[in-house]
Amino acid sequence: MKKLTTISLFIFWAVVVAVFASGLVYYQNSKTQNKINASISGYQATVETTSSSTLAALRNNVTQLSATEIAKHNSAGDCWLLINNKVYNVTSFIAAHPGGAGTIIPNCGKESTQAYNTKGSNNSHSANANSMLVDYYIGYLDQIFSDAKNIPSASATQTSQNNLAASSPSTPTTNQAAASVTTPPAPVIAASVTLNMTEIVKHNSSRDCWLLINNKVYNVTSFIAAHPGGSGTIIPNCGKDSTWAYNTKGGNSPHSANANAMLVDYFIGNFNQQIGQQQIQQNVQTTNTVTPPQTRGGEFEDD
Amino acid sequence: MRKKFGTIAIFILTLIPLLRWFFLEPLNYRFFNLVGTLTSLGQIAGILGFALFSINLIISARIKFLERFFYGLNNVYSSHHQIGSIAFSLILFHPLLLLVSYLSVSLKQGMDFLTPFKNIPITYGIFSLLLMVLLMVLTFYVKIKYNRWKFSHKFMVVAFVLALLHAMFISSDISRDYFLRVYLIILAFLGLGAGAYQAFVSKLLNSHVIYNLKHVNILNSQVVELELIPKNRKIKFSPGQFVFIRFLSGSIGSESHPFSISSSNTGDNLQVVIKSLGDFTDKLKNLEPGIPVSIEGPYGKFSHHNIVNKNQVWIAGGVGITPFVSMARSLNEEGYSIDLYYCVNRAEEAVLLNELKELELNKKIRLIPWYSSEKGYLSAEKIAELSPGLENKDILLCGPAPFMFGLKKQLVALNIKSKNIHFENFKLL
Repeated sequence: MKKLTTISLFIFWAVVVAVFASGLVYYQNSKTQNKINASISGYQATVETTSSSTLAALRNNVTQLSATEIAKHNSAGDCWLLINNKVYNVTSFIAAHPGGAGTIIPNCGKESTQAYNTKGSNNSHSANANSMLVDYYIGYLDQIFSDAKNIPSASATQTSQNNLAASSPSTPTTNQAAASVTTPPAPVIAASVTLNMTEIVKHNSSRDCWLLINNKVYNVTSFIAAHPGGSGTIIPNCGKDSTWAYNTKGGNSPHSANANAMLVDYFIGNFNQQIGQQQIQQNVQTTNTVTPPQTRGGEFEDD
Repeated sequence: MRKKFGTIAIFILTLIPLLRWFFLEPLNYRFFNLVGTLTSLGQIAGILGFALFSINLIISARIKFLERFFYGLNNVYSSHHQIGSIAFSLILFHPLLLLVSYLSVSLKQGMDFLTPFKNIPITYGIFSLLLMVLLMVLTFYVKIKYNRWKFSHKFMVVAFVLALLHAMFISSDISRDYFLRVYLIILAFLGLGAGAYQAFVSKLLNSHVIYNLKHVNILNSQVVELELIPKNRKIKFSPGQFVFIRFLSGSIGSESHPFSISSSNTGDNLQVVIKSLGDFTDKLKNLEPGIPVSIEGPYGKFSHHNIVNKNQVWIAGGVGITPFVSMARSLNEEGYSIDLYYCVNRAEEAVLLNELKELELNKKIRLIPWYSSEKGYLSAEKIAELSPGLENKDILLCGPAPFMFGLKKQLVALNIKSKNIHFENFKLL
């Protein structure tokens, strides 16, 4: 028994000392590294903004989630709801509605905030219902989509097919755009992706997990295993709007300031922001090593 | 089987939270990749370590019914020793396994995880662990006086309270699962309750009996026999048992020490023997007759009374003779046939030899003194040669652990059934 204790104690202190020692060495080296990183990211930021503004000009099939657009989806077979200035495609949910299909269908294609908040009488929906609704989110009122195909056609349950269709046609145009701008020589944008719900739902597994929290998109794949609250609390939220889940930890209490600070490391872009594939790749890689400044804010605003 | 009962109970008590943990979440959420698996193992280590820590606190209190579970207080203490080592190792691996997931994010996260004051529940855990490390180092690697060590070891309760705060406030399966939380809280409070009982209540409940010191008999430089007179009532004991003694005045300190009883259970006075190194023995030699002592006990299941077969071989190593002296002095019933081997290095180390020779004259026992400096170590073959029909006798061993385990192994090799071999490891912490 003394042997067991001795071995355990030895391993314990060896690891702890190793972590702190390598930490010390690493941070002395990284002071110089950070400066380089900062200059690179500044350079890339200019590349990004110029190219994406050109992109905006190139849009030819712009669709807006306006009241007129919403009103078109007014049947049980194609049902959008506008609730608190957010648009939801609840078509696939109508049959599953615990309150009955009949209470949703009359609201299809309409502003339904009042109906949703009061359930037609004086009861509000449960927190659970609110979290379910998030799964059907497609965009906010008057949000502009570069392509009608980019609008998520349905819920989190429907996945990638139409997204592939959405992202691939844009590839040649963006490449041309990048080429036509040409001032900076680096081919930064290989392909661009819009961080909308359709894109986010593709990343819905423990091996590839994006979260939408307060209209910001985070790639937390590498963090799942490290989550102090357990991987099981994140995985079910992958590919979804997890604002509510994040803010309440599933009904308990908000995350700590420390947790909020950690989350920032996994930021890849704002909701509906257009972002280069390479940029995502880069962000994912950088979050695994250092936390350089370019991942921290929304510098690459699209519009 | 009876002897294993306590071990089985501990095993079940530890298994319950583990099973609960396994069914809390789908296992593919927990073990979906290497980092996730290590994190999950870290969580298991934490839960099991805490449960075992609680159990160890419970069994470290000298509670009578636990002695029955473990068949003797010495077994309770040897379990305490083993569980403590296992729990401590699990608790050491708990942060190490969790560390992997933080390191997979970044080195800085790993360092932050191991740094106190970044997160309150983790800070509790860090200080609990550091205190435990210190106390375990004092237990295993630093030779300090028994009473100082015993005092230091009481701070394990502080480490335990910190561990409890850590377990209850950290966001984990314990905070999310009501059953797990309640189960661990109950175990923890049983542990704290047992500690409080041992520290305060047992003294009030009059389980301690007061005797007065009559005489100090110095047997040799390390071994001292005390003769005690009951103040009001006397304790009832089986020959072979031991007691804890606390000196209520004098310069000897107020920690209780285990003493083996050497007197007959028929007389009024109590004679006890202790072997101790260093200045505790010196202090005992200087005790004034008449000072009051508090006796707690008796404890132990080691007695010829507990064995049906009256054909017995008793084998003592060094001061392990004490319980046999008590048994021999109490031997009043008919039908016993006893060979007593008394193993020491040299004749002058054989304490209480004259008393035993007197008892031999009364034909109660056959005494076989064995001086290893002259005849070499006592072996099972020698015993079989000197005590014919060994396979029909029950064998009682008392002495240092290597002495007992060595002889037991040899006896088993001679086809003696191990259920016929009884021993008491009298080295208590």
